[in-house]
Amino acid sequence: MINKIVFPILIALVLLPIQLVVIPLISISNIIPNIVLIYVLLYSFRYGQIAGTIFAFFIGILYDTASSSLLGSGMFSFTLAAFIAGYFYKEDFKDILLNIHIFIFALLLSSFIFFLFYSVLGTEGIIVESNFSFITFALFSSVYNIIFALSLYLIPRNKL
Amino acid sequence: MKIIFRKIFNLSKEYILLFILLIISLIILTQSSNPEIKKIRRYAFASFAVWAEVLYSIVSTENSELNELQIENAKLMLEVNMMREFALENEELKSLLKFEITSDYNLIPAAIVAKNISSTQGLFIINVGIKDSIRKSMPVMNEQGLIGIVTEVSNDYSLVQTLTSSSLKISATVPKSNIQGVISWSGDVLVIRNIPTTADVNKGDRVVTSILSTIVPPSIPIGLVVERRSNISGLLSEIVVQPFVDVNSVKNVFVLSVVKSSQIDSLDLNLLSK
Repeated sequence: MINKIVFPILIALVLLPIQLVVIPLISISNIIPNIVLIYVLLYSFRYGQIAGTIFAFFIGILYDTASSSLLGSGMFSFTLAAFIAGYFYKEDFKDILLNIHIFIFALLLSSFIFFLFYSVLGTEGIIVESNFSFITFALFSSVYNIIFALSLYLIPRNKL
Repeated sequence: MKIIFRKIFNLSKEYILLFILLIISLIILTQSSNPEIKKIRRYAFASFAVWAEVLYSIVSTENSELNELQIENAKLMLEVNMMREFALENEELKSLLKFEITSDYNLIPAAIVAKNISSTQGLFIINVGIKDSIRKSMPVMNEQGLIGIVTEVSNDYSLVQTLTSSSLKISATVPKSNIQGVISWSGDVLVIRNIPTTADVNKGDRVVTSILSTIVPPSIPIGLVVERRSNISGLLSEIVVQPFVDVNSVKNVFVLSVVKSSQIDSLDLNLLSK
């Protein structure tokens, strides 16, 4: 219970201000990694689709309220991304990390879905120039996210 | 029957859960303009901002001398821009509007304590609020130009909707050709739509806030015209504007305490509350 719910929420509460205060400092032309998303996806990899989806939903509420973005856009995007990440769930979390190709693919796919929906749902009454710009944005953000997520490999395996 | 339902539920419970959660998210999303939801947002950002500022104070490197120079720079930029505007303005129009020259810009310096960088939801939290005389709808800028508008205010913090927010629409003008339009973020670029194709707008023309705006004072620089696109009918075109300010790399900003026009106030058009 504590390991599965309380600690993850506390960690997410720490990551949230870091995401909104520190991470923007490393933005490259509007593109930033999302460490809260990385954490939510890792949670989904570790605890499975149902637990991951519910966790992501609540983290989405926190994210929307803390970032003052449109309430619901983060909830939707986090939930969907975590659900997709849940397909790559392995009983032993280390198995996912050992297979780096699968790990990168799973992160890329889930992050892409997150950034795409978060951007699209955040549009309020605008005429979208081209949907391609959203796709490009989501793709670049996902790649940046993966580069960030790969820092996990710097942590000794026995600590994971 | 019950067994069949149970089997179906067991087989697809993940999908049912996902469906329910997504529906809840969408319902909340559609209610985002509800006053109650806005109230929640206001309290949430104000409480979060306290924690964000603690973290900000750890990572930031404040320099008071630099801040003062930036304020000076911003004031000079506004004055220069106003002068440029006046040089282009018609004397008759000036006398008609009884437009007064003012150089008394009250700039309130602020630091950005948190940012939400997204392709459509550009938002900042700044460390000034009601107690610093900040009010809703005040423009936020730096020494280069306009950054956004204050949309929510708490006692100590304010929420700023930046130029990269799709919900921010500002009345803008190209002073050289006196073309008026509404500038907004398209998710990719700043665009002024529905400009007559015959209008004399060229690449490199300056775009500033318009006198028609009931929120932002006139002549605050926004950006430069970088492209002009015609629509399918060929009658109207849209202007792509490159903002002067790289909104996402900004650290310190100024809130402009607007000197309101008494005429606009008397018409009850000014959105700023008295």
